[in-house]
Amino acid sequence: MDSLFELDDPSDWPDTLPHMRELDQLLRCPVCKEYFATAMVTSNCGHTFCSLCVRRCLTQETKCPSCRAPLTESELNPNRLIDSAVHTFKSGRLQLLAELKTAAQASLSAAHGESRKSNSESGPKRRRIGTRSTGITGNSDPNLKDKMSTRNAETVSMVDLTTSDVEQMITSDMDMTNSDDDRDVRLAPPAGKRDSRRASNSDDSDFMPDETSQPTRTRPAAGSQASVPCPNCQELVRQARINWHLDRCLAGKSTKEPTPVSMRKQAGPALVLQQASMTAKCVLPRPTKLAYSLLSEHKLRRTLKDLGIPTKGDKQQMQARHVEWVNLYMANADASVPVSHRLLLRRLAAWEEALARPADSSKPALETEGDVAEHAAKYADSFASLVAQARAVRAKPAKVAPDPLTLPL
Amino acid sequence: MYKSGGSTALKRLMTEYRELSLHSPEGITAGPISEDNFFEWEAVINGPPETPFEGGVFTANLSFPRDYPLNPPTMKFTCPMFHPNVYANGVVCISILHPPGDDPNHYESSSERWSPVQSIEKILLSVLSMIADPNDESGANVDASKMWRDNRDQYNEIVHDIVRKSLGL
Repeated sequence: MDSLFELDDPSDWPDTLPHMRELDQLLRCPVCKEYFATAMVTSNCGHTFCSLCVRRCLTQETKCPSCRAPLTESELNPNRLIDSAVHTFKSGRLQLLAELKTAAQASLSAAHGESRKSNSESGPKRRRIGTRSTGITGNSDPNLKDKMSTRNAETVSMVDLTTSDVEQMITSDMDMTNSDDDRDVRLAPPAGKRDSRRASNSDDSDFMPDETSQPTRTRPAAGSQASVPCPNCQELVRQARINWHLDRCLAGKSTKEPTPVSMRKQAGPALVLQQASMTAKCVLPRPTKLAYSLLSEHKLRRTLKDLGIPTKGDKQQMQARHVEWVNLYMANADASVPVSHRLLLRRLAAWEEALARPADSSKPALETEGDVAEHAAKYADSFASLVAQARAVRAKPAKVAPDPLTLPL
Repeated sequence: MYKSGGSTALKRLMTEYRELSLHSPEGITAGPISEDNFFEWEAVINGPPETPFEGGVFTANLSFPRDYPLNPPTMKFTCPMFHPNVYANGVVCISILHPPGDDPNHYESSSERWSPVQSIEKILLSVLSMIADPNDESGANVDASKMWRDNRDQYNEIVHDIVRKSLGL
């Protein structure tokens, strides 16, 4: 949910696919209008919401937001199937939309009689582009999403390119992708001996990427893949890498080679889990709901301190913060892959910042004609006296001014 | 690019803006006054046909709270308006705009009130039907309520005036 802004909504689907539009709509929370994040189903009325959304609503009113049947938080149950459905749907969505666009363009150009001599060529090519994006969509890195949308826009024009052009683009795209994954290197499983990859881009041809993502790539020549034993440590090393290996081996450095992209990608979901557990060093106590009216400001501040959340502000602010913290904490506990408490604290801060913003920055912008008129009416007296003052000041220089002008004449 | 963190409200307002600009219901146009501030919207409502308001074009401002959609926006007409459910200062009094907790008038069933699953589109449609069919039980503008009930001709005449004013005639 913390990914960059990308506005997608059911209207992305063309009118010719009403069912896809409806499915897209059904997989969204009726409160936030985004795809369900940790879906929870109500046990009474059977409505489904994001965990955080419904918990926030219930702090306001203990009723189901959809049908207003009485509802408490204990009547919420996780709906894991919806979570999985959302995950799968989101993964396929961009790919499908891109393919639809490509198909629409192809049929458009065919209708205009611009079709080239080898019209059949566009078929397999389109499929290749599509399968390639599967590999990317499967990646769990949220930073990639942004790039993905731009790349999908590129694929539309790719239809007109030759096969080699497309492959070149794919190669350069892969390199861009790699840089995003670099931070995951430490978590990736150790590189296999045969799975090693060239450090230099110039020799990319013998680097074997994810095979499923690039079915058309030809296998590299067997020569560069042949392994030879290292004369120093007897380890089997790929022939093309033997000099690099020897340099490091003799210098006593690690001979582990950089992890290939394919392995990092395959490890996607496992990585997320690992990452979450690695950063979850700060574990904060589970908060409980409080009867705020029975608590003094001092006691509430101490409770907040014990929970490890900020204690600034007055009682009202602390109370609002505590309510939001309980919701964030409980919603996170519902998730199949909870995030670290440190990240939760950041979300709490972001929530508070977003809530506080109107007071200073946006207020001046709200002034409408009506408000201006009201303001004018309210301060009519002050305006009148100010105008009188200004006139008096202007009257004086008016008397003085003609003198210096008339003097030279 | 904006990091989403705590801005559920902003994201939802942007989504609703997109939906409304793609498929806006008949007789209604709405959007943020400035793209810099998604919490202040302007709506243009066409007077519903076959009512005294027919032909008029009415402008209103919508102000959204930071915790939208937990709480509803407020709506205020920025043009002259004469209607039983609109205060003299232009503020619209309609059940869908009342937050779930408080019921100042003690007459609304909670099913008509604001809920986070409602939307801007639903608000504007409710206002449209309110214009066509006033609710004289909750008189925000007592004069208009009384006139609407007792002296419909005079009410229609004033409304015709307002329609002309709204068109700048």
